[in-house]
Amino acid sequence: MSPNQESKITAEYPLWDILDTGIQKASFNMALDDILLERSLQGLLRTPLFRFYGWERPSISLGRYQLIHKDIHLANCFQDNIPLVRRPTGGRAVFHDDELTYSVIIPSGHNWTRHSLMESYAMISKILVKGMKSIGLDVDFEKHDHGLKIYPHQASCFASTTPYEVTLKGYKIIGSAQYRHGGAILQQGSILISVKKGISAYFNTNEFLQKGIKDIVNIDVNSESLKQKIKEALSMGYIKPLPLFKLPDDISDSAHELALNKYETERWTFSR
Amino acid sequence: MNPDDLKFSKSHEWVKLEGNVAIIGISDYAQHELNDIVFVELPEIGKQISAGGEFGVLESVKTASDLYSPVSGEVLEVNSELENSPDLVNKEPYGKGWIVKLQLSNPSELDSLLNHTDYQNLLKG
Repeated sequence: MSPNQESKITAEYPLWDILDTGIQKASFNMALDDILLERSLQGLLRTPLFRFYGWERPSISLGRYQLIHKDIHLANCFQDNIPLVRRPTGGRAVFHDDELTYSVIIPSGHNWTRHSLMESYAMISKILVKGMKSIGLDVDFEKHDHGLKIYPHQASCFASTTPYEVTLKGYKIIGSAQYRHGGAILQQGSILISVKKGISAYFNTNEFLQKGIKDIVNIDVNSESLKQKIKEALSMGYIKPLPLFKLPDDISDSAHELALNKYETERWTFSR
Repeated sequence: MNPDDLKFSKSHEWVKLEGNVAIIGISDYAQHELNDIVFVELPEIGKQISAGGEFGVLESVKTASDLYSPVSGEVLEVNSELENSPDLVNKEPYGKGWIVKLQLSNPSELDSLLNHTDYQNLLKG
């Protein structure tokens, strides 16, 4: 391959790192995204990064500035031992259980940071949609929602919709939120596989209807199989993944430290 | 405020000069882009801010996004109405949705900002 051919392919299929950190504690999950964003600002990430992760137990993440006492039913959370963690990203609360969670870190200066908020949402959503369609899910993804109302003051992320949401038979199945910091972008999101009944008990809100993929269509899917399909979509379409990124020990150590000193503290979790 | 009387930064903040005081907010394009703003993190009075430096965070339903000051100066006043009504930034980005007032420390920084026409051209790409 000539250098010209190689540079053309790189331009059309920008190189990205893929990181799979498996099942982790809520605080570590947030701390690692935070550390990766900071590393990207220091120029220490090779490329944009697509991370997949899971939760060691059902947990609730809150938006960066969400009012915890107003939106979360703390007594029910404590009674059922549901960990609460405040995200670095905006948006509303998410109950994490049977889902595939992702984050995307785009370093400052990368082409994608020049796109508007909604455009960058759209580009990331297109990758997820491609993976979901490849397993036969007839997901909708359009600029305008399907008559669903926008409820900015809802406690739960999945009780509100905004443009460029991914829906399945009218139900929002991917909830995402961003933090734009220092010219870089961190986007975190959850793809719901199934939703247990009764989770609205953890929110101070009216009963809301939230469903995952398996609650809506009869399909054999789990977070692992969906993750593989999205990884394939990454390589087929918009992104040329680099060999699987191994999390360096120093980043992992920093994330454990930040989990302890920030994301597990009442000072951060109850800051609003 | 008439946007034709304002100066704009490429990161979508605006400045209006009143004497040696710079009033700062975000552009109509930026508020539209962010969608419904639900919280504004404001700086402390007396804080020194550098041109291009962060002075707060806007949170909308979809994102938390840093605010960058177009000019340097000391924070004289913040728009405390935004604590209870952050949606003023959406409703009146060039009026009641202003965010902060700075005692300007380097007026020449205004020269590098865009007028409204140039800012609109920037948005058109």
